[in-house]
Amino acid sequence: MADILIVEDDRRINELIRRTLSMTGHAGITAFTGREALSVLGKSRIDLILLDIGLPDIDGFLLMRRLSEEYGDIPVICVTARDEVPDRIKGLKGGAEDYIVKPFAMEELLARIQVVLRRFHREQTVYHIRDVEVDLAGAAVKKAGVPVELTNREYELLRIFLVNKNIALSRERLLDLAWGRDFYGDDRTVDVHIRRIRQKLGLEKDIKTIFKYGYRLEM
Amino acid sequence: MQIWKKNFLSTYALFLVVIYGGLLFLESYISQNEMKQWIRHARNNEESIFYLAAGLKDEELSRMSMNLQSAAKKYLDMGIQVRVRIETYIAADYLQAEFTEGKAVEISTWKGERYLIIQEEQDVGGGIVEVIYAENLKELSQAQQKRTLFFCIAGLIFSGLIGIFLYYTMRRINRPVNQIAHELRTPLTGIRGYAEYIMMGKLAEEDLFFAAKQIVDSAKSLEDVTGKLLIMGNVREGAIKIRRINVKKLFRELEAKYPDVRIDCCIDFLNGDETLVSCLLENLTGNAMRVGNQVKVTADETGFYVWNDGETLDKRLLRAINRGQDSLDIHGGKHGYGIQICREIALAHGWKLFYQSTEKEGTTAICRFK
Repeated sequence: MADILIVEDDRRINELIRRTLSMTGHAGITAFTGREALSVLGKSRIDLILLDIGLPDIDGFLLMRRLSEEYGDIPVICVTARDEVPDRIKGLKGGAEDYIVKPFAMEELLARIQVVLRRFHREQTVYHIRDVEVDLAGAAVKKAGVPVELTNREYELLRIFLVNKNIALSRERLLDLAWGRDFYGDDRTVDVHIRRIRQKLGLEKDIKTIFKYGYRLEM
Repeated sequence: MQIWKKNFLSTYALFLVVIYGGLLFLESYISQNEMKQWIRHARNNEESIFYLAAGLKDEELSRMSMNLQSAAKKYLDMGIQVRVRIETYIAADYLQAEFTEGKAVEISTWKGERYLIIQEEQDVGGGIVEVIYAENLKELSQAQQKRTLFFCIAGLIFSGLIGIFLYYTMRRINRPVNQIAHELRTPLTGIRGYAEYIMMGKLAEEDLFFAAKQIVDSAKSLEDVTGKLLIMGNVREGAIKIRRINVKKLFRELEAKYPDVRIDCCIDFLNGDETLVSCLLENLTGNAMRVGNQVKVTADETGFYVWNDGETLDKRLLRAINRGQDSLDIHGGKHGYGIQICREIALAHGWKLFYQSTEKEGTTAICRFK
């Protein structure tokens, strides 16, 4: 679980990101101006900053420069409507770890957040689902303290569910994430693997089936 | 590369071809004319020597020779080399430049300098008189070189100015497209994001209602942007209907929409397009409301004034906005599109929209009637 500062002046988008982060177990702290962001950074410990470039008081690129000078250890992801290549280059050269253009899929934003958190070793590595303990760093799964053997694909699916907890993932998305885009398997491949995970870990109630869509791990 | 940059480069290349082609044509035309004049002048000189030689042909040899020598010497002082032959006798010879026998007029190069050579040989009263006239073209060449240099510099300056003008004009034409894309992205993110939020999560009823409301609001924003786009399109096509507008009524509507805004309307009627003027006032007021705590809208005989007590606009930004540039950056880069529309509406009415911003007096958007 990470503390993520959302610097976005559009209240609707800010709230959307905060809610989505909160669903996946992250704490979203909101700031609507550059000054507010600096004030939050002065008071709280922040793991990641989601920064909109077009802020009302400070230019996002200037703010980023200031952040890299004063809070260089906090990674920044630019979330902006500016999609031109020079802006992206400016953002990435200015110290952003990633650059995501509006409108974006929330899943994509979450995936990028996860990647950056992992790069900075701020990713949650140990998860508990009732008596099941999953250590992502050691790739170990235990149920009631007893190690459980999962196949590579089952473990990958479980990892995807954990980093996207409380989020409904479509079968197609799970196929893409766990098997890769080149895999031309049937949707039922996912169902079979989910059934096995549920059986092995006793997660029948935790991994919910979303009718005609996919699955969601509820924690 | 962006399309507008490609367009700029191709248009600029075309302009360069036209500019330098034009200058080249002008230069060659002037040079040709100059050369014609020069030849005409040289021919006159040559003819006067020829007539002198023809007149002295029957004179005593020493006298004839002396007269012709003295005339040729005078020409030599002016940089003109002359050779005069009467029958087989060379009466004067100061000619050094090389030439081709039998060519009436030619330009030859001797010792790195260009010479205009005129040869004339005629039978005058039973005797042959021949004059070869060679005039140094150094002066003409220098004048031509100077002119070419001047044309090159003028071409460079002119093409530079054209390039700058073209670049900024094309960028300015393209900017509304970028701004529209920018304005559309935010509500689209809201619609997509909240729809995904509903699909992804296990939500309580109030969360579902909240997300649905956000989708509706985002859709309204989108509708607002498309409405503005239509207005802008109409303004640009000149489709405006000038009528007598009840300004007091417009201000009452504005007051109803923004109850916190102070309103002061000193005029009753105004000629303009009611829909567009209403849009102008709403945009200016909306922008002011976003940045200031206090907003006052005034109308008098001279124009509309929308004042707010928000932060002072940076001088560079203010200048850029008043020049019609970088309006995207005003009010945090989110509402510049509105200003663009306001400017176009004001222009369509023959009015002028500009901003004034000082720390003491706050920021005022002024739409001045001309």
